[in-house]
Amino acid sequence: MKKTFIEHFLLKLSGIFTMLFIWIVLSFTKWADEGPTRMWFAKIDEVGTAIVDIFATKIIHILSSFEDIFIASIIVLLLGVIFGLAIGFFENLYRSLKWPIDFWRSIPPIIVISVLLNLDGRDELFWRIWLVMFGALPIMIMQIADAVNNSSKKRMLIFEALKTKKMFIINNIIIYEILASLFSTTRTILSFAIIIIIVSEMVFSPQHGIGEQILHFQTASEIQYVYAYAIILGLIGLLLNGIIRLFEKKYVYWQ
Amino acid sequence: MSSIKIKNLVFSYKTQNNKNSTKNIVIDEFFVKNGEIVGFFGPNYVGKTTLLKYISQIHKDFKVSNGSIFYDNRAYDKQNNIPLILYIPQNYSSSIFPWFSIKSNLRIIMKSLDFSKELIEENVKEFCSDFGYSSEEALLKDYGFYQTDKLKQTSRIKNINELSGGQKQILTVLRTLMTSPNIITMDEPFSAIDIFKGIKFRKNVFDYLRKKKITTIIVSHELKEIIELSDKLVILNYDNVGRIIKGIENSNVSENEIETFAIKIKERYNLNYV
Repeated sequence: MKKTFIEHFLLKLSGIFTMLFIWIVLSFTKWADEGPTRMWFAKIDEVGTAIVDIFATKIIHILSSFEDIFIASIIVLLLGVIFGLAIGFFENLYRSLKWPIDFWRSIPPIIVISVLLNLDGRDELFWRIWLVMFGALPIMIMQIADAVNNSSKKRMLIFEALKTKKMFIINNIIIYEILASLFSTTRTILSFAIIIIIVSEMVFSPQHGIGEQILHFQTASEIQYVYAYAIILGLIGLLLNGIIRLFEKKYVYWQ
Repeated sequence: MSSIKIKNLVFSYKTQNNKNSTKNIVIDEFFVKNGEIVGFFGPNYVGKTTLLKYISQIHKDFKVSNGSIFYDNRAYDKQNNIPLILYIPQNYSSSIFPWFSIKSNLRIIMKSLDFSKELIEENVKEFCSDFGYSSEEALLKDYGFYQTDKLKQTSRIKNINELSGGQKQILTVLRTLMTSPNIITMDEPFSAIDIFKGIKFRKNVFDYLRKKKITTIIVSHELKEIIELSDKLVILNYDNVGRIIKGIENSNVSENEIETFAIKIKERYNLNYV
């Protein structure tokens, strides 16, 4: 039987409610107050208080991380689309660069952190963005290049036989053919940027940032703040994902 | 309208299924007069579509080892301008642009040829009138491109995704005709259109092609259809590596003659599907 919109919505919420219910039950057991448990488990009410405190007094850290994630993702998106289009459009360029780029994207960016640790000024925004670019740019470039490469040859042939200008083919076929791939890759890039920015903030210890705060509260044994930041990060990811999905529905309406 | 002539042509191409193997097409002689409608008929894998693509100059990987193709008595050269040839592929879905509306799909080829907006609208209007309709809306409504809500008494043009396979095929054919090319090559252009719309649509299309004297080559597996619609039938056979073995002029061919011809072909080439 076909589900209504409300039924769909409730189904989606049921997972969250189940998790919350388990957390509430665990929070009010004796087990939650035992010494070893307190080292890693935070009660739901404490986490709630921590979230309120973060938004009241520590919002700058969220904004700082959010700004880094946003700037890094935009740069990766722009460069990825430009290089991806060029590589996908010219077959020889695609063939000659496919292996080097595949090799590049196989290197975990976390490894590069150990190299950056030897540099002065490593806590600057530039290096965090550079790290995201190192990890995410090859993914973006190859996804776009593959999308261009896999775009319907038959549609292209119609125009190539008519000696149509390349710009017309790009504007009327290729851009649309890569849109779906662009949105799904953007979601991947955002998740990637969140991970890399938070990890680099933990390692490089800048003045602001969620990563820096998580490390700080973990050292101070205030585990409820670590939980609170984790929830906030999850919500940021969910929100960004939702926004991209909205755009995807609007601009890739034919799929 | 334009003429096409092929003489002693031998060309090879890499097959789609196996890029390492090549297939040869050999054509002794082939001629299509100005405004003539020619049907290609032959068993699967004989090279009908390949020949059609070669004539349409849309295949990249052809290697001509002998002979040439002539358009309007001028040998084809990549540098020379050739007549406007439009190819209607067998796979109509991949030649539709799902991100554009139905009306934009109808105009996309004209737009790609740098036709001005005024000229495009003029062509559309003229085409609809020659095709037997008072307006573009009337034409689209007749072929089911409009969704009507009988209760609210409203109608709206459908999205591309709402079209059936047959409607997509109609759209592809209409788009090609509207552009008024010199030559049209069609690869099974009516295969997905239902019998109710199909008879009328086919008649309209061929009436239009004859009226405008557009040189046309059509590939079909329906022998009866192809004989009825075309002025000349070309049979391709793979006994001799894709050599064109016979062309018949079929003016005033009767039903009985078609049946007799079909039986003869069936016996001659041991075909089971005619």
